[in-house]
Amino acid sequence: MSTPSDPSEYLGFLSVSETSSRGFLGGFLILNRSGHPIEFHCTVPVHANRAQEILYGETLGSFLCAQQIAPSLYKHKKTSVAAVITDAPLLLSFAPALDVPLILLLDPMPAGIRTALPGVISPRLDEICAIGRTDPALWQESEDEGIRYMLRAENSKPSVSQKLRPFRKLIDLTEPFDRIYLAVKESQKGA
Amino acid sequence: MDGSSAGESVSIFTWNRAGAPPRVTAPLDSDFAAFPPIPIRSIRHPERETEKRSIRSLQMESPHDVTVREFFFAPLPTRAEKIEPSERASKRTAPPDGSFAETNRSELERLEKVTRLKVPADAIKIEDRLHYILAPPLETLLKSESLELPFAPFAYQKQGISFLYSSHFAILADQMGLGKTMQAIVTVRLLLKSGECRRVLLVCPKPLVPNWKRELALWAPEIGVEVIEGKSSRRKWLWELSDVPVRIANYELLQRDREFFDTPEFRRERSFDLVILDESQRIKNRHSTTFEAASAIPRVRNWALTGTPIENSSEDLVSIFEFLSPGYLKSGLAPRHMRDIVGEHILRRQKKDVLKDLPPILIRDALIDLDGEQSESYRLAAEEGEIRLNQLGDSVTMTHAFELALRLKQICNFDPATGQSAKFERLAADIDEVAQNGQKAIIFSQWVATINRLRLLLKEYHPAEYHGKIASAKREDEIRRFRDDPDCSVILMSYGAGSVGLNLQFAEYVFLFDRWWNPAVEDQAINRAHRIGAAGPVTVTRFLCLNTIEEKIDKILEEKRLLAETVLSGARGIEPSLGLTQEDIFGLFNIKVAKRK
Repeated sequence: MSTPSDPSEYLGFLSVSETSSRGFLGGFLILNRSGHPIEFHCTVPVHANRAQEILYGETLGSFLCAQQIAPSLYKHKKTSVAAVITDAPLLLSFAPALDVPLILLLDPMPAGIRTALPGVISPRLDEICAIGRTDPALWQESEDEGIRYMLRAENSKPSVSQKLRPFRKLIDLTEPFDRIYLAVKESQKGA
Repeated sequence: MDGSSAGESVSIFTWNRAGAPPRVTAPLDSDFAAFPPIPIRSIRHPERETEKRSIRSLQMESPHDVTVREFFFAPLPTRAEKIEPSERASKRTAPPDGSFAETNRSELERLEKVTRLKVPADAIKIEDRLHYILAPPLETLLKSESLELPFAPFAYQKQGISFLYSSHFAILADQMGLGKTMQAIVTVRLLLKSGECRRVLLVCPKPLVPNWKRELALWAPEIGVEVIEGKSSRRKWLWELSDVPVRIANYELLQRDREFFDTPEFRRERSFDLVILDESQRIKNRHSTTFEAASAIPRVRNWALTGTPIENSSEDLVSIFEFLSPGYLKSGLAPRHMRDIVGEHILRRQKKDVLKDLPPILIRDALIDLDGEQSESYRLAAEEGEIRLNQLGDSVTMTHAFELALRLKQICNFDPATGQSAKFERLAADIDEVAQNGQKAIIFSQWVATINRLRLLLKEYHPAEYHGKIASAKREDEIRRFRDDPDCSVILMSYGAGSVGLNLQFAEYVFLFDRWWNPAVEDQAINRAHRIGAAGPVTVTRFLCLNTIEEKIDKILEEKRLLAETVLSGARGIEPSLGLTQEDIFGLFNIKVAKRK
C-alpha cells in the first residue's frame, strides 16, 4: 500500500488505549523529521465478543491490540517509515509482523506498564514482556542519549539509534502520543 | 458507544496531508512546506477518503464490513475545548486507584512544557480540527534552526502565539507590557515560514514605526521589512510593487493612500494575507475616516493588538470587530452577552495573572491641597466659569464645558498669574530623591505648556523630552539619552506621544502630573516602565488636587475602569456606565440649563 518514499524521512507512532467499556482504540501517526504530521489513522472502539473473551482470556488485550488494531492501522499507511514507536506494551507482539523496528518507549513509563504493574518503579524486561504476551528472550533494552526503550533482539541498537537521531533533533519522542490521544478523542466526539 | 467487534473489520478514520486545503501562498522556505496550512473557510475541502478494511478473524464468524463512521456531521462543541495538560495525562493514564499523581510527575511536567496550537472555534469539520490537533507543538516549531529567538518566550507568550497562529480574526488584548509586539512578530514569522502568509501589512501609529522596525529586526531578523513612506509615487510603488513580506504603514497614511489599495485590481492581485492593526483603539469610531480606510484594505485574515479594546464604551469593541469580521458583533448587547460572543476571539492577560515574577507596582495618589494664590485663582476661575456657562443658557455646548474643564485643570498644575504650583512642590521633592539615588523617572502631562514649565524648573536633572513638539527623528535620541546618560534623571512626556509602544522599563518612577480623561491611556503610560524587563518595583504617583475638578474626573475614571473589567474579565453583576459622556462633562459643574447640546 505504501507509495515510494524515503523511509528514513518518516517515523510512525502507534498507540492504543482502553476505553471505559473494555474496548480498545488505536491511533497511528506518521511524522516527518520536523515533527509535522503526514498521515493519521485511528479506529473506532474495538470490542471482543463473548467467544473471544473466553478463547483469549488474559491474552485478550494483546490479541485485540497487536493482532486486530495494529495491523489494520499499519496497512493503511501510504508513507514508508523508518521505525514504529509505541507507548503500549500490548503491541509488542505486533513486532514480527512489521517490516521495520518496533520500539517501546520506557521513559517516562508508559501508562500500560504503570497500570499493569502498580507501584513498580523500574519494571524488568520480563515483566513488560508478560504484559505484551511475548517472549522476553526476543527483546532487548537500550538507552540512547537519555531515552530508554525496548526493541527486538535481532534489531541492531546502533542502527536503530541512527534511524532515530535525525528525528530527535526536533521531536520529543513521547510528545506525539499526546497528539494521538487528543486526535482519537476528537474523532470519537459525537460517536 | 458504537464500535467494532473483533473479528469484524476495524473501522478506520484516516487523515492525511492530501486532505488538507491548499496553502494560501507559495512557501518562502521549503523546510516548512510539510506543515499543512491553516484551512481557509472560503476554501472547500476535498472529500475525505474513507476506507474500509477487512481483517482476518481468528474466530469462526465470517468477516463483514462495519459501516465507517461519518465524522463530517459529528456534533462539536461550540467553543474550542481547552484541555489542561494535567487533565489529559490523568485521563489517559490514571489507574483506578489514583496512584497516577505520585508516579507520573515527570510526565506532567513534560506536558506542561508543551504549547499546542489552539483549535479555532470556527473549525467545525473534523479534518480542520485534526489539522490543529495533530500539528507539532509550538516548542517544536520554534526549535527549528531558522527560528531562533533572542530570548525564550514566557509560557503565556507561547499561548498567545498559538492563539494568533490559529486565528483568522482576533484581538490580542494583553495588558501593556506583556509583549504583544513580540507575540505578533513571532507568529508572523511562523506563518511566513510555513507559507500560509506571504504579504503582511502592519498598521500602527506613526511614532511607533521605529519601535516596530526595531522589534522586527530583533525577533525576525531574516524577514524583509519595508516602511511605506515618502513621496506619493514611492508610496504607490511600495503598496503595489514591493515584494517584501512585511510592510509597515501608519494610520494617517492609510487615509491618504486609500486610492492606492482600495481598487479592484489591488483587491484581485495584491490582497494581503494578513493585516495587523496595532493600537487598534484608533478605529474605535466606525464612522471615522481611519476606520473606513483600514476596513478598505483587501485582506484574508486580520488581528488587532491593543491593551485597551474598550476605552470609553463597549461600542469601541464593536467597531474593532466590525473591522475584523463585519457583522460578527452587534451593537447594543449587554456586556455579558458580548463577552460570550467574542470570548473565543479575544485573548487578554494581565500582569498579575501571568507574570508572577514581575516586580510589584505601587500606585499612590498624591492628594494636594491648593493654597495661596493658586487656590484663589482656581476659585475665581471656577466661579466665573460656571456663571458664564449658566449665562449661555440653552446655547451652552459641551465644548464650552470642556474648555472650562481644561482651564481648571491647567490651574491645578500652575497658577497662570504667579506660576505657583502645589503639585510641583511635591514633585520637586520626589524628583530630587530619585536623582540622588541614581534612578529614573517619567513625568506625564497632557499639555506641552506644562512640560515646558517643568523642563525649566527641573533643568538641574537634565530632563529629556518626548512629546508632539519634538521632531520624530529626535525622539529616539531623547529616549537614548534618558536611558544612557546618568545625569538625565527625568523624561517629560505627553500622554499622546509617549503613552504607547515605548519600552522604558529602566525607569523606576512614574509621575502623572495631571490626569488623562481615560484610565486606559493612563495605564498605558504607567506601563512604559512597568513591563517585562523591569528590574525593580515601579512606583506610580498620581497627582490629585482636592476639592477641584480633578477629584470629580477621578471618580469618572474609576467608573470607566469598571466597564472595561465587566466585558473583558468576566466580572458579573456590574452594569456598564458609559465613559466621559456629555452628561459627565456637564456634571462636572454646577450649571442649570434646560437643554444641553
